[in-house]
Amino acid sequence: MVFSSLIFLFRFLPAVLCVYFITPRFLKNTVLFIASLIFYAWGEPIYVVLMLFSTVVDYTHGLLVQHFKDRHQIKQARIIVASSVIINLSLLYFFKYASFLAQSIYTIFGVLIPIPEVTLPIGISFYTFQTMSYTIDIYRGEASVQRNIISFGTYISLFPQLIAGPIVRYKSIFQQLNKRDETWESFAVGVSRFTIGLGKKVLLANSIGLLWDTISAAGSSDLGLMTAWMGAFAFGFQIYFDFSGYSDMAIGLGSMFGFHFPENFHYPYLSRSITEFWRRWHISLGTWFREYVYIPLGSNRNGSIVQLRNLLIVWGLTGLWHGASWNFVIWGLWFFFWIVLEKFVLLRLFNYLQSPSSHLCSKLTGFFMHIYTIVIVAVGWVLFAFERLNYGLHYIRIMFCSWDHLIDSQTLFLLSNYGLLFLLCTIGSLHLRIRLPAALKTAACMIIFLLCIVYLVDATYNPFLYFRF
Amino acid sequence: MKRITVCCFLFLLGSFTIFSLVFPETFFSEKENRFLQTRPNFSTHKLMNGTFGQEYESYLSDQFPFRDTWISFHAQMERTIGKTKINNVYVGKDNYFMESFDSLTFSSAQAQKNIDSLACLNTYLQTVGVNSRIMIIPTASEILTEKLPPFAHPYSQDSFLNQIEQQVGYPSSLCMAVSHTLSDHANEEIYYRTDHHWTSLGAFYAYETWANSLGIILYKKENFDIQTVSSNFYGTINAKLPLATIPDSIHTYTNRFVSFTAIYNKNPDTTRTSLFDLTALSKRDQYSLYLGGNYGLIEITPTNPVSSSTRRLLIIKDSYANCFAPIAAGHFAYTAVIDPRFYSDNIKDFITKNKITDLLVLYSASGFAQDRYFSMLVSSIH
Repeated sequence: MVFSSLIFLFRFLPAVLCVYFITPRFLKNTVLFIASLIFYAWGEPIYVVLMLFSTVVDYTHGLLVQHFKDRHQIKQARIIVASSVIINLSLLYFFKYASFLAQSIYTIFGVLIPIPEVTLPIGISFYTFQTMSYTIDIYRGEASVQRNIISFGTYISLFPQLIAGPIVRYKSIFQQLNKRDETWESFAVGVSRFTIGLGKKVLLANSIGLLWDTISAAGSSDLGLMTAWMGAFAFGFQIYFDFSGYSDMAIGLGSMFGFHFPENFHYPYLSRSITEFWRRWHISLGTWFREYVYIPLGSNRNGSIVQLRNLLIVWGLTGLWHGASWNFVIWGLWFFFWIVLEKFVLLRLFNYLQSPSSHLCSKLTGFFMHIYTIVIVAVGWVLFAFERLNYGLHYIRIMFCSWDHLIDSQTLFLLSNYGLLFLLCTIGSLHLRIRLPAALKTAACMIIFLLCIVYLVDATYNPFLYFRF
Repeated sequence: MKRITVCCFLFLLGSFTIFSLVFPETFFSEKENRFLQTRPNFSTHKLMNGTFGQEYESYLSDQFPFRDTWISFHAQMERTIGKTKINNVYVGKDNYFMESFDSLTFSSAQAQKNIDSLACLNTYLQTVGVNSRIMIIPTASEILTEKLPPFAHPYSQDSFLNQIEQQVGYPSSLCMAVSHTLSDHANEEIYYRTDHHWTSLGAFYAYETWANSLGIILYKKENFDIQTVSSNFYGTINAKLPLATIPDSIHTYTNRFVSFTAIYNKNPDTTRTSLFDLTALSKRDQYSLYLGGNYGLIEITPTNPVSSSTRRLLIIKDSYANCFAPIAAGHFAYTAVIDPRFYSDNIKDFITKNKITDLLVLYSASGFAQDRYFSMLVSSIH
């Protein structure tokens, strides 16, 4: 099930809210757990077994780690952690990467490895990362073991963040699992957060996504330079509003049930460097990689060469996490390149230029850095969008080289159709510090909610006009 | 205020939930011309393979309270945000709505197959001495270019028509000739504003081109009794994009000299004495008044033949021919109209048995490119 569907809004959510709030405290987690299983099972009943398996495995691993730690048998504890990580990564590998690896081996070495066809279980990339964080946090002593399997199951399967994050690390939520307050305040915050997220997804992401579909579907041979850029920006907006909308909805829903999930996006398109962009984009994933990969590898403590190696690993993995295909790896490495360049050259240069010697120079540098970031990110999105790398590269070539075909009627037509939407998306990406009166804010949220219903009902409007067979 | 926010939200959530639970079900949507999903029956098997979930989701949106109102509102919102192409419909000038087709429609394998079948049919007709004519009519966006929204650049159907012309050859193909004729009359009402068909007037101009090529002494407009039978027609494009707009008028061209009887699918009980079924005007799809809609085989004979013509015509067609046939039938002792979508008998036998002398293939360009039945019909020939 997805949040932006009629069935979630007008069947699942009202039912869960009703049951949850009339249930006594000690059963509330059970309600959430069962609701989450139904939520997950709705689309793919079979994979619920996989998630339950993962839950039981990590629950017992957590207990064992604690058991050995209490006896100061650190070595055994480490083995248990390793076992948990191996099991989780194996699941992820089997369902997400096996066919990709087999394909790559076949391409490179010509060896054919038979791989069973499996569909990717929804959210597996998210919940395996969460379960791994659990045993590691226990081992590190940063969180206490969860002895109640219902509470633990609730953590793993919690439906607001189950299928698209944020990736909630165990240590940031374990106290709330046992003790949290659902208040009018938190519910109201949840409502506005949820409706804004829904609006981002349904009104902005889906609509601007149509533009990207149009442009990417058009044969790239007759694509003009400006149209190509418009397409890249459209995709950038689509993925941002889609993803951050989902995170907003997750945070909002969590808040309705008294949870406080970590923020996942912080106006990434305002960034003035790639380094900053990644501090603002998909924050929970960046944090996860920093905490569980980059720092354990030694981060920057062992000199530049080791740091470079660590960054390379982290960015390669970040790319791969987004999808089992080479273009995602390249996409990750694209950012690795720019982040390293910034670390050693660009940021020093920018800082020097921004030193208060000249106000104008500093302003100009800031402006330039913003443009530079947008361009690098936009190129990144093209790499991300085309699973076939040569398509992406061809598209990028148009963006930078097709000066003899700058603008055409397609550009103007699309601009006339999507100009206003672009403006709305741009405004939606800004950090507006406007204080609306509370009543107006509520009204705005309700209007957004109604508009979303308009788009959701229309989504299946499917005139079958000419024949009736 | 916090409580008001929460209450507003819960009110919206709750009221739509309850409303959608108790709202009466609709079984058929005239506007969309399809059966709507009704509440699915539960079974464990359907639950486990996920179909129950899918059916329930379509049920919920198909039966959503005041669905049509939401959908019109959606179209209006899209228009407000400045879109001039919504749901693959161009919002043109002077209240013209035109379907947009992309290159995929015209360069598909199906489209190519249909052209090959057409060429094959044409060759066969030439060997057996039947006059063959082919008219594939470009859709509105190709002809009414003046009415398109600013900067719109629909995929050109020209290359598709050209390809037909080349494979079929002159004089059989009238595709480009008709395209030019229609373009010459682009400022007249030759296409409906809210429907994907051409009007009787458009069909009349095509008829002139066609009749001339056959060397027939053609009827003039004055030879027809032209009546406005409807002025409240909202067609298929309006269903696709339900924006408030002015309705179309429908005109019938009745031959002043000849009257006809029509027999449907060889069933004598269905004999009609008019080629226009005025009862269709009370339905949503008023265009089906021409010949009464699409049928596998309609056989039209004049009841009072004025000329001594012995020519016998067969039209293989989609719905574009429905308003054309009443105009053309006056020249022939016998006119058969076959719609391959509803006809499965052997076409070769039909031509010999009925001593067909003239054959016309008449389709809209988009209809012909996407048709799956034309090539099946023709396959009996090779």
